[in-house]
Amino acid sequence: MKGHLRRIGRTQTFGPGIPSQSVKSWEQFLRNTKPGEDRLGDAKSWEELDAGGSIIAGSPATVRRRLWELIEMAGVGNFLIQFHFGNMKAEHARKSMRLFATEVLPHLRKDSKELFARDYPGLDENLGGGR
Amino acid sequence: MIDVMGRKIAVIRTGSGAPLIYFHGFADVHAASAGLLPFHEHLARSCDLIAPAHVGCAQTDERDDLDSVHDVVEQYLDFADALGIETFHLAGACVGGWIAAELAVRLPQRVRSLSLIGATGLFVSGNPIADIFWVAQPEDGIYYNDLRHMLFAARDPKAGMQLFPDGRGEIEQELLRYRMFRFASQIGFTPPYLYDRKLIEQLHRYKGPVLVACGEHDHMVPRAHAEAYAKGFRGARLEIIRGAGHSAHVEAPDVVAGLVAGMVGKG
Repeated sequence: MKGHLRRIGRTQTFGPGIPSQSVKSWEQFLRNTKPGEDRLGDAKSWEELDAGGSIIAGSPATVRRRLWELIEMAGVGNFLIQFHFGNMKAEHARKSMRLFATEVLPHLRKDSKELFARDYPGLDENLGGGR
Repeated sequence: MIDVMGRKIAVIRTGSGAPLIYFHGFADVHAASAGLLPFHEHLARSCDLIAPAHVGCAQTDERDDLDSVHDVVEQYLDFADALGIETFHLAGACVGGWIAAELAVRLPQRVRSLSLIGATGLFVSGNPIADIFWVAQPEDGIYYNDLRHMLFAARDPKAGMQLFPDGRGEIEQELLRYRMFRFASQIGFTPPYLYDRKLIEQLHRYKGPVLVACGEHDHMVPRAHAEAYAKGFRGARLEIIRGAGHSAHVEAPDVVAGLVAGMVGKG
C-alpha cells in the first residue's frame, strides 16, 4: 500500500489537501526536499532494500552474518522480527521461521552470550542469572 | 486588508459600479494566482469587484476553530457588514460558488443577484463530487496531470499549465496553492467532498435572479449539481459553457464574465 501510494506520489497523511497539515510544516518540507526524490522507505528493488539494511534476506548463513553485524555494531540484545509481508504465502513464512529457529537462532544465542559476557560483565547477575 | 472581528481578510477591490463580491475557487485569484485573472479584469469593467481570500488563503488570517463551511459563512456575514454596503451582487466559482449560495440563503434581502460557476456544495445522490484532495498531490512528486484534468476540460490547457505547472515552483506560489487546498479540506474533506447536505432545501429562500453556469466537460462536479442548483433556486438560468471544464471562468473568461456582468446589470 505504502509503496503503491509513494510510486504514484500520494499519501493520505501528508501533503496538500490533508486538513491536519499546517502551512508551516509544508513550507519546511518544501524547503528541505527536492521534488520527486526518494523518501524514507522508498526502494526500487530488493537489492536496494537489502543494501540499505531495511531487510535481511538470504540463506541461514547470510542472515546469521548480517544479524551478527548488527548485534556487534549496536550491542542489541533483543530483536522483533517480521517474517510475513504483504501477500506472502503462509507456508513460505513458516519455512523462514523454521529455518531461523533451527539454523540461525542457536548460533546467535551462543555467540551473543559470549559477546555480552565480554562487553557487559555482570549482566547475568543483574538480570537475576538468566540463561 | 479588512478587519473583521479582529481577523484580517485579504481583499482585492477594483472597478466601479454596483458592488459584486466574488468568492474564489481553486483555479482562481487568491488560490493559484496572487493577482486577478482575465475573467476578473473583464468583470471589473462593469462593476465594483470585491474579491476576498477565504480563511487561511493568501494573506487572510488562519483560524484554528474552523470546523465547517458555516464558520466561513458567519465570517462573511460580518465581512459584508464591515464593507458598509447594504446590498451587493454575489458570484463564486467551485467552493466559492458554494459559499456564495450559503450566504445568499442567509441574506436573501441584501443579495441582488447570485452567479454560480461550477459550484460545489450540494449532495446529489449518485453523482459524487470528485476527490480533488487526492490529485492535489503530484504524481511522482512532479506531475499535476490528474489535477489539471479535474479542473479543466483538457489535460494541458494553456491556462491550466500556467496555474498548475509541473514540478516545484517558487515557494510563495506553492504555498498559495497549498493554503487553498488546506482551506478546502477543512470544510469539505468528508466524501463525497465539499458539500452541505442541508443546503439544497434552503435554496428556495433566495428569490433574486440566479445564474448557474457549468462547463460542458466538468470532471469534478457532475452536471447534476448545476441542475439541482437551478431547480432548487426556482427559475434560475442554467448555462452550459461549451468546450470548458470545471474552471469555466478561466477557460472561457469572456463568455462567463459576460454572463455574470449580465446578472449585475439585471439585479
